[in-house]
Parts: sequence; structure tokens; C-alpha cells
Amino acid sequence: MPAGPARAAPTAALVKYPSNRLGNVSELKVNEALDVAYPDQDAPGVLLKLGKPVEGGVGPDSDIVGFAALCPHKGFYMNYRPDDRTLNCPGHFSRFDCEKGGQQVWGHATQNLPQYALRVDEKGDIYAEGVDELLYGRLSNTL
Amino acid sequence: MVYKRQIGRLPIVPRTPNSTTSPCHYCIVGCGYKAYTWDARYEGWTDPKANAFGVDLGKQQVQDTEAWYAPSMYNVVRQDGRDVHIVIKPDKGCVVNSGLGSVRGARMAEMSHSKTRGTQLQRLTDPLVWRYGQIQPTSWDDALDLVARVTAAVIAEQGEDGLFVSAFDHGGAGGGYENTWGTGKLYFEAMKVRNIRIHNRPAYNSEVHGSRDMGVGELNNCYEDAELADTIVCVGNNPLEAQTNYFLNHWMPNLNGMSAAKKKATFGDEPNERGRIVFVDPRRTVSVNACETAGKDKRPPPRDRVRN
Ligand code: SF4
Ligand code: FES
Repeated sequence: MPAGPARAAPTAALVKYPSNRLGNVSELKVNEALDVAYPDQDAPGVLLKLGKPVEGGVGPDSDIVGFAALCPHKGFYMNYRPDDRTLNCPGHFSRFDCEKGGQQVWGHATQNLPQYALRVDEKGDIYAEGVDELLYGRLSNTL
Repeated sequence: MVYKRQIGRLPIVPRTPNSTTSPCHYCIVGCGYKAYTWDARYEGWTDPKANAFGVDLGKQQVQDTEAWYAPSMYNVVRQDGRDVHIVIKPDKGCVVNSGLGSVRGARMAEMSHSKTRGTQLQRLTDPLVWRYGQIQPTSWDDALDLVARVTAAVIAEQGEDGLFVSAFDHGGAGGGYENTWGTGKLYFEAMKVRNIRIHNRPAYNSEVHGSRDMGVGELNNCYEDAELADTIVCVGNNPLEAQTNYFLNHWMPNLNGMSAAKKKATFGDEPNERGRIVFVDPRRTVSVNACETAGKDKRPPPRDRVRN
């Protein structure tokens, strides 16, 4: 049976994000996670400098990225694994690729990892200005 | 580029939605889900009195919370001729999954037919019958009437053993409940037909001996047994992927010692160590990896024997 014409989906529900300073380029070491929080203190995340240009990467080397640190499956706090540059969940083994925009490598979350929209100013300060997926534990990314 | 939904919020389930519990539509584990629907024109709010969870949704919720659902657990569907919001989320109160979803089941809402949001438009909304040289939609009354007439005619002409049934089956889950349960009651219990097969199977038995997704001789044990067993031997299976929450919610607690109290209550003073899991498999699956990872901090990894 013909499915009928597809109708446009309504625009995604977005919220207004704050522009928050998360750190400075000088604080980051290649392949080490810096703990941050965005869009507020109750939403833990990490900043990473990956040493090569990556999806969503900012800064002089286009290699700085930021991700939510709570697993979008059941909200466990994830650990960064420098050897393969993934965030790993102790809950039920989900893994997310930090070089690929937080794509789930394997796991039981039904979304890829929320990534921050980042901006670096002339002083090297890193600002987060948005998130591209729903954060675990909140039905609105900004509370 | 990686797929992102670019979504920052979801409609909130109001205080008094229509609510049902239902088994998952997908695999045979049969996890429990809660399905909420409510009129498309409104939603609940963050105030504890204004949402179905009775908590302040203006705050970050903790891990394993009941008061959160992923975008994959939300959709807008037609119910009784009206557009409604739908949220289908894992049920924490269900002993099968204790609130865990899997990458399949946690997508039930997103995988529903929705003209509003353009999802799964290829799904059937009416029974189809072959008439006048083509497959065409009809009403349920008409379709069931046709089945009854054909059945009666076959029996009248050939006797009861002339009847061969090819039945829909899947899962002890949603599909299983609505399809297998109804047809099962009819054909196995009421009519007791001799010749029946379920979906891909040539006969009503497993076409392969023993070692299937859930373990040797599927469906012959209570899930609790997996929490109490000394050793689980797993031949050619990958339960973390194939029967996810049976593995996560019933095997894992045994492996990491979380079912110790239950073992003590069941076996008294008998020695009861943490469970062991033995994998016999030519593949190094994620289930093997999970057992090693879970065992790592506390003791040597569980013995896994990988045999080629
Ligand atoms: S393991 Fe997943 S697919 Fe299977 S019943 Fe449970 S939620 Fe559904
Ligand atoms: S909470 Fe991360 S995999 Fe379940």
C-alpha cells in the first residue's frame, strides 16, 4: 500500500541556551578530559582536546570538543578512555566516539551523545552555546 | 556526520494521562513498558502536581529515574480518531527489566505510525485481503469473517486434519501477546490443530537444537534461576545484544554478587559464591566483554572459554 505523502515534521523543540565560559584553551592537554558542566552546574560534561581536527571541533587546531558526561541510556556517569577516545558507561557498557560527534559505538542508548556547540574567543576562552540532543534526566535542556 | 535530533525539550506527561502497562513489542524477553497518551493540544508541567511523576521536573533527575524519557520514547499518534501525544517508557516496577530499556524496546514510540511526525508511514493500518486479483484493505469484521468461513469450509471438505495454519508469532512480548496469544488460544487450545507453524519455523518447535539466544533450551527456566545459578553455560549465544535485559537484569546481578541476598534466602547456609558464566563461542562477543568488564574491579574476570 502506498504510504501516502510524507508530511514535514514540526520544527524540533528548542530552548534558549546560555553562553557559558567552560575554560581556556591553555587548560587543555591533548587527550585528557577536563570536567565541566553545561548549561548549568547540574549537567556534567567534559571538554577534550583531541590533537587532530574532528567533527564539531573548535580552537586553533579544530580539535576541541565538549560532550555531556551522563549516559543517555540511564544516566550513569561515563569515563573517558584515552586509548580509543571514547566515553564509556559503567552502567550497561555503552560507548560513544568523541572523534565522531559522540556517535554511539555500541550500546543501549537510543540517541548519540549530546555534543556542545563551542566557540573560542581571541583570549582562548571556550564558550558553550548549545547542545544538539536531549540531556539525560531533564525534559528541557535548560531547567 | 553523526545523526543528532537537534531537540532541546519534550512535552511533559500531564498528571492524569491515559496510562497502560504493556510488554515490549520486540524480543522475547518481554520487558514491561508504561505507555502514556494524552490529548495533543496540551501537556503537563514541571510542578510536581502538574506531571504524571509527581516530581519537580525543573530539576536535574538522578540516574535510573522514572521521570525521564528519551526522544525515541515520544511521538504523536492517532488514538480513537484523535491526535495524542504518546510516551512509551520502560516500567521500573516490572520484574523483568526493572526500568531498563534496550536499543530496540526503547524505540517503540518513535517506531509507531505517525502521520503528524512522518514516522513509520509504511505500516499497515487495516487488515489486507487478497480479493479480485489484488491485495486490498478491509475491516477487521470482514477479515475475521473470511478466516472463519475458509476454516469451516476446509473442515467440511477435508476434516480437521485438512487444516494447515501459518501463524504470526513473535515474542512473549507485545507482538506475541496480541498476535500469538490470540491465535495460540484459538488454534492450540480451542481447535487443537495438528498442523501449525509459527513465522519462520517449519514446525512448532525450535528448528535448531538448544543453543539459542536465551540459552540452552529457551524458555524453560524462570528468569530468577539466572540470578541463583552457580554457573551459567552459554553456548553460541550473545545475550547482551540478543536478549538484553534478561542478561543485564538477571545474569549480571549474579555475576557481580548483587543477588547474594536472594541466594542466601533461597539456599540458606549452602556456600554461594558469585555466579560464573562460561561462554562457548567462536566469536568474542560484547557479552564476553561485558562479563570481563563487570568482573574486573573485584576479582579475576569470570572464566570465559572461547573455543574455535
Ligand atoms: S530486551 Fe529490549 S527488545 Fe527485548 S523485550 Fe526487553 S526492551 Fe524489548
Ligand atoms: S546507563 Fe549507560 S549504558 Fe546504561
